[in-house]
Amino acid sequence: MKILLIEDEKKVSGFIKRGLENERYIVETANDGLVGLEMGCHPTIDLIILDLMLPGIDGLTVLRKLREAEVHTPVLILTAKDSIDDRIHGLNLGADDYMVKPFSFGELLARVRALLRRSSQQNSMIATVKDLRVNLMTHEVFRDELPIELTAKEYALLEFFINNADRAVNRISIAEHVWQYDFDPGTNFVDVYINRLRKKINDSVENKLIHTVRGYGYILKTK
Amino acid sequence: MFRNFKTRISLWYTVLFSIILLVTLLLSYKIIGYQLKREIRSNLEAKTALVKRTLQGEYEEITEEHSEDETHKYAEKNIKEDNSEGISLLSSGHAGHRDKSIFNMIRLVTESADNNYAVFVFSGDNLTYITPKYSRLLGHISHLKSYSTPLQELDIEGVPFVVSKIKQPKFTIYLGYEMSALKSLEGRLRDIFLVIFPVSLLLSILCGMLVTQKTMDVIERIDSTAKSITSSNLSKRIAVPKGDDEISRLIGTLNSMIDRLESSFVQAKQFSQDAAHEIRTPLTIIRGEIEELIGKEGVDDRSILTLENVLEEVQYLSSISERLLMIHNMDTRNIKYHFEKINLSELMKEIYQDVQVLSMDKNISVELKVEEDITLDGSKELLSRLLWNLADNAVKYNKPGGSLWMQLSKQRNHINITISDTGIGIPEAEISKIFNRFYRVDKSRSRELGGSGLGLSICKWIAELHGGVIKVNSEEGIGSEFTIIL
Repeated sequence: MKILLIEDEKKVSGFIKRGLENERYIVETANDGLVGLEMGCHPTIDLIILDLMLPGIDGLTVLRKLREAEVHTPVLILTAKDSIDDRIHGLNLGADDYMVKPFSFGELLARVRALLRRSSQQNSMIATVKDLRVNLMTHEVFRDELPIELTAKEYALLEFFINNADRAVNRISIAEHVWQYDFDPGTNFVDVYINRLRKKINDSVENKLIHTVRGYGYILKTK
Repeated sequence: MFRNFKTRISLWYTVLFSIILLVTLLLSYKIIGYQLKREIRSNLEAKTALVKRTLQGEYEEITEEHSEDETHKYAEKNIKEDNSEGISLLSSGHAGHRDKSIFNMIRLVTESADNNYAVFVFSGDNLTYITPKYSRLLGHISHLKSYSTPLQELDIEGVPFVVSKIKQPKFTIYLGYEMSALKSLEGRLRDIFLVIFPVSLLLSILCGMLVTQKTMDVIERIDSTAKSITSSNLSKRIAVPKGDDEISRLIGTLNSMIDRLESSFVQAKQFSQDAAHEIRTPLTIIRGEIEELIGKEGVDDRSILTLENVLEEVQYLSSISERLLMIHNMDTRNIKYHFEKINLSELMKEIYQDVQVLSMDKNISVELKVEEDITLDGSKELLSRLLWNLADNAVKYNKPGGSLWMQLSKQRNHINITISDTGIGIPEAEISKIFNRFYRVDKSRSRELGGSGLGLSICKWIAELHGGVIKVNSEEGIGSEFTIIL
């Protein structure tokens, strides 16, 4: 999978590139809008991560020109502006998702995976982790072929783990993904929800899916 | 009393005006009286001089005007008339022809001008002549002889006179001028002034009120416009009237003050927005680098703990920058939030679940009472933030083992949301300020609990954005109750 990262801030593109490469993606970077536009037209690119504030031409223009050139590669917008107008404008121009800085890498990765899965069609709409099967379209969850009822938040939590499979995620990233409102990191909020999820998916000690990373967060292990 | 500036100004105006009016009237009364009297006195002095000259044998000058015959005729005629009235004492023998003509001259001199002159002639102690018109004063003029000053004002039987004395070897002549006309003129003048004064005073009060009213109108217009200019409405200006007078200059000054205010407000807002934007990229980098570091193999547990703490602070900074931007959005009002139909009952239940988890540490019992299927057009993101902020506060400021109630009900057209707690409460003096930006009741404690002083002002804004209001009831030490009416 090849991802194009159009971002002028070298340090930002640096850690995103390294993080994505760790997840075995091929990452190409462009530092300004014009170069990004040119590279984005290449058919081998599977996903474009696009910053809005760019030298040369700005991100929204890059997006518009890509869509005008009939390039339908999924685009994930990154921006420091979070005015709703911009968000709606970006989505109207054909962006597929939108992320406001600062974001956690886990969140970025989750969205990247969701977008790539959506574009590579149905067969990957079902995620399997050991004997846990999750239909990412219908939100149905099965373990050992037994259906499991999850609340919206519990499902969101599980999906976040699946999209970050085999990667440790910290509590703050989890909380930000599942709850939109301000979160006090001092509470054991996330732990309580994870324990509930664990109970529901019968996460027993001998066949554990969600592992605790001491002092940091959690990890969903597929092996 | 007289708190009203307008009343005070009118009062001052009236008092000053009435003093001026009173002084003017009194002065003109006095001056007019004085002038008239002076004129009378100088006339009398002139007549006296004339009579003196006549007596010194200079009456030829006068007779130039009247022929001897005419004078005689005139005198005889008058004497006859006098005689017929039985008053003249000239016929008492010892007055010669020359004397007679002198008397006639005196009469001619005095009576030709106007008939207010009186002549009294004494020969020794005997009154030898009196102007017929004043014969009624006959018995009352003896005291004249006691006066020696050249001009003397006196009353004779109630008739005011100014009298001059001409001493001759044979006679003493008194020339008198009756001042009744002057006195009655003065009386009339006084009457007129007594009418003018209250009328003018009344008019001045009315004028004063009118003038101050007009001035106040201008000031009130400035005031009401200035009042309508608030921090979110600084683009408004007071209308400047035509011309270059004090008022338009004052308005100009106020407007330029608002200009400066607006520009500094805009700068402050721009700064907070820019700052919030600017710190986002570095925050993203810090966060990304830390997360990457934590994920690496071979990092020891202590470092992970430290990094985790740093990460929490980064997250706190991010939420502050987010709130600052939200505050900016509140002010500019140019953001259209995406409103959709929201099941408020379900939203309350979701929040309730989270609050339950949150309250476990402090062993707080949370009670939920919702009516089913209450819906509302709104922004789910903002409404959950509103409910969460209030519930979060209700947990944070609660006592261990306390209670928290969440209620949702619908009454006719209103949706009522109540979130109440058994917490520390809000001091009465602080209640009005808690919705202010950056306001924190207990500064030291609030930061510890993650408060930035923006939460409640955001809550208020969200409630208002949804056409509602937010109210608070609180008693220190007992608890607080926040009610949102939508």
